[in-house]
Amino acid sequence: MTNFNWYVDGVIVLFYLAGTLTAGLYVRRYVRKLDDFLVAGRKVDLYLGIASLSATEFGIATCMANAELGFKYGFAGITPGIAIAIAMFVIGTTGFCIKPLRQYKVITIPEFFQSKFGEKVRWASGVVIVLGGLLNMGVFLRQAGDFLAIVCGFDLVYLELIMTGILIGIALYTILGGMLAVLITDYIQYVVMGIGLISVTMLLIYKFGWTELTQYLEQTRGTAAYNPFEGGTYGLDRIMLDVLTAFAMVLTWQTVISRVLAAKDSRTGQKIYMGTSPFFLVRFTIPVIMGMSALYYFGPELFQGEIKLAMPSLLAAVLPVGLIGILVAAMLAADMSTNSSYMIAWSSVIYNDIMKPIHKGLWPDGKAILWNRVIIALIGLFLLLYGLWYPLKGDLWVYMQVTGAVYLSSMSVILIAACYWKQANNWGAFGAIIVGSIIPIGFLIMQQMESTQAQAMAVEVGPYKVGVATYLLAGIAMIFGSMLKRNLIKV
Amino acid sequence: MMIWFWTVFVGVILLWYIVVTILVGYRGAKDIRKILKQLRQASESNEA
Repeated sequence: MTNFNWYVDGVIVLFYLAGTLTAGLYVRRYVRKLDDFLVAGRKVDLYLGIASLSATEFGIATCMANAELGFKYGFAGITPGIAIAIAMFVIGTTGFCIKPLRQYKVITIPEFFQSKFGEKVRWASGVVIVLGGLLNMGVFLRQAGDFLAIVCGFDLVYLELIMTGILIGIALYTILGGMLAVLITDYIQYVVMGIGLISVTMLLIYKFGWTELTQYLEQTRGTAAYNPFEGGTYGLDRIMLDVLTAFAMVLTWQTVISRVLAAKDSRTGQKIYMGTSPFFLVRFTIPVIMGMSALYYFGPELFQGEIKLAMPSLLAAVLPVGLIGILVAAMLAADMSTNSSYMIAWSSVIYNDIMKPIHKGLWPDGKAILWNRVIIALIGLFLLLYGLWYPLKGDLWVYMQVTGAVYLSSMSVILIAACYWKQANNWGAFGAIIVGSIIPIGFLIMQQMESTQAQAMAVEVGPYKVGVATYLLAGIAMIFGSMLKRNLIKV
Repeated sequence: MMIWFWTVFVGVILLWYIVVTILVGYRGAKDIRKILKQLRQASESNEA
């Protein structure tokens, strides 16, 4: 059952959608050059950068994944957010890696690698980034469809139609307006998302009572719900993976780093990071409160195996008419900004790095923009097909961490080496890329095959230890490969 | 003790989010006007 009313909530949602699409389409007239399309002419200032980065990194999939953490682990589920906030603040303050990266005026990270390790490393890095990024993004659409179907009360047979509709809307303004349209719509989405998330969180706390929520959490999940180090529920291996993922994501995740690359200078890029860092606490805290509220409302047994659906089911049941419309608009805002930014981020890597041997950087801007538009449309098609058939096993957040590790592990190692280790070379870079992608992809395959599923999810292996091992081994491969080449050359 | 920590933590986070949403809402609009003006001027000077 849902309180969604088509005459009140439907109008709120339609009004929001019309406003966003109009703004996104309006700015397409300002896009003349490839730099305008991919990095908004590198003119992004502090507040627009904060709005855009925050809106991009909060989508429906993230909200559902983090609410699932709140349902299962209570406040301990905020741990990844604390790790990301600290990582972003430290990197923003020190300029570690991001300062040299912005000073090179590159569009993507692989482009930066070329100056240090050559064209082949640039190409291979591009492939790994796109592979990891698209696998990661592949589940977004289905989560959004599930959320909207539950909250708005659609029949699940319309799920594919909803997913297609959302995607066409996003693709339309991204294809036409590029990064500039993404930035403007991100701004609108940031404001709408803020209003929706704050109102809903306040209402949940008011409705259930803070004392009741926290007492019920302790009864059902124990004291480990307040302390991730306690009781072995959340666990040290998971915390280690959270910390490694946080630093690697802040340094190399294309949708995050593209805000630094689009900033008007490296100092503004650093300020955008410092200013956005607390938002990552919000990104986890608000969904965790929603997850805890769902636990309180439904109890721990009702959603066994499908915990991620508990949060939208709660919101559908308890939010009043009007507020539910604002929430749907807010979540659509969150999802549209995430998808549009991700589409343009991966298309920029495909065009700029993977297709480099074909166009050699010589195509005129008009042709380059056209190709980027085609690539964005193809990414949209991939998302639709992958979102329909991929069956998610285990935590949604863990899936995102493991798929992210495909490229985060190797790219972060290579980036640090490129910036600060003079002896690093292309052998080490290739070693890190191979090790960093084989382990998580192998794990995902093991998770999907019936014969190996039990081993993949066993405590001795599990996704967290696999994730941590990927980062460590990618680092070792970088050092070993670089030293090996140097020694062989000496001989 | 831990409940108090998380209560204060959630309170501070929500307060920060409210303030920053209002601030970014106001200053972000100014940034957008500036970026569009710069792109328009760049486009006009290219055409000239």
